[in-house]
Amino acid sequence: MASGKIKEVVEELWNDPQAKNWEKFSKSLKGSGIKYYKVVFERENKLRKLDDLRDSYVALYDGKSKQIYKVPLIKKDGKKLRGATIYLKGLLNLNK
Amino acid sequence: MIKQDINELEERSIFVIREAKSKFKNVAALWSMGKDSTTMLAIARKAFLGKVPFPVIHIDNGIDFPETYKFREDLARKWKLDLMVVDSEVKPDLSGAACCGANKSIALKKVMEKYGFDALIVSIRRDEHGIRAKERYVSPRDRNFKWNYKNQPAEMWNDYSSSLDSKGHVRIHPLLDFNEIDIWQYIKKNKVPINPLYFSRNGLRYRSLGCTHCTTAIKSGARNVDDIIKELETTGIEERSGRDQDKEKEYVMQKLRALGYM
Repeated sequence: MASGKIKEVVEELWNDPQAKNWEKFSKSLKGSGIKYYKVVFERENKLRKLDDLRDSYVALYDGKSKQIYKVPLIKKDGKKLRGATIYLKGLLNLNK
Repeated sequence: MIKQDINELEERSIFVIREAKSKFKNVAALWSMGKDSTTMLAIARKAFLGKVPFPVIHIDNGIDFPETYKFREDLARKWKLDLMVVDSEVKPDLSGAACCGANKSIALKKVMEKYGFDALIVSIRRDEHGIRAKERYVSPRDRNFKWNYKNQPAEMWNDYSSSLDSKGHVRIHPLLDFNEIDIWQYIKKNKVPINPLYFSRNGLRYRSLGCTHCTTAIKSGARNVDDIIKELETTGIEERSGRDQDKEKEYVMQKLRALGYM
């Protein structure tokens, strides 16, 4: 997939992290060059209020560990917030 | 470190799982895709001719590691598990205790009530945490899910109580006497599939797995099961040193467990 396409999908995700946009993102991962992820929580890794979750994100890296995108950590499920890391399946952890 | 006989531990676990299946009407097991609950499922398959005969529940807050989700799908397919994924909301916990603990307990309570499970198999071990050391193989919970750790049934000479509060449930802990190293010995001996996050990359690995929020990696060069066993033979670091809820104030784990946490 062309990098322009995934860039659009990432922008859509930031605007509206609904399931359909996450599905699009998941499909566009293949061939995008993204290999690693790192989950970044705000506030020194402490989750104290909902804004901490909204401010948290997942950094995406290519095979040379160069950060190329950031995506939200959450999915909006109606009024509820859900984590969205399941859509990153296939990527490798860079937190460790 | 006390060396235990893996075969004896396995026999006891098989006995406890079979007893649970025969004494209770509606049994389920919790699966976090970690080494302990995956080992428990491997033992359950041995106990029941290659099939896990009860539903396997994953309480999912949506921020588990992507590798964990992939492992869940792959193994559920391979072992033909009756997998129930139960969503728990991601909510911060203002008390400062582990955020997922309380929320996971609420989600678990809902699913237990909805499906009427009267026994829940949980893969905790006594050596993991001082509070878990207080547990029994068969541990009653009242109708409000509470664990009365001051009043537990005696378990002498491998005699386990299966009496039940009319609207409560029991927790079954078939791995209670395994140590961390026993689990890895068992995984090695029985070639149990395991989550790749346990193995080292770039000098770091996860020794105890929770969600992405509460788990941090430890320094380690262990790249396979043999390396991990060697590492455990000499380490003085606690297993759950990378888990946030264990670093909270005194008795937080005890409070969480009393309220229904695993």
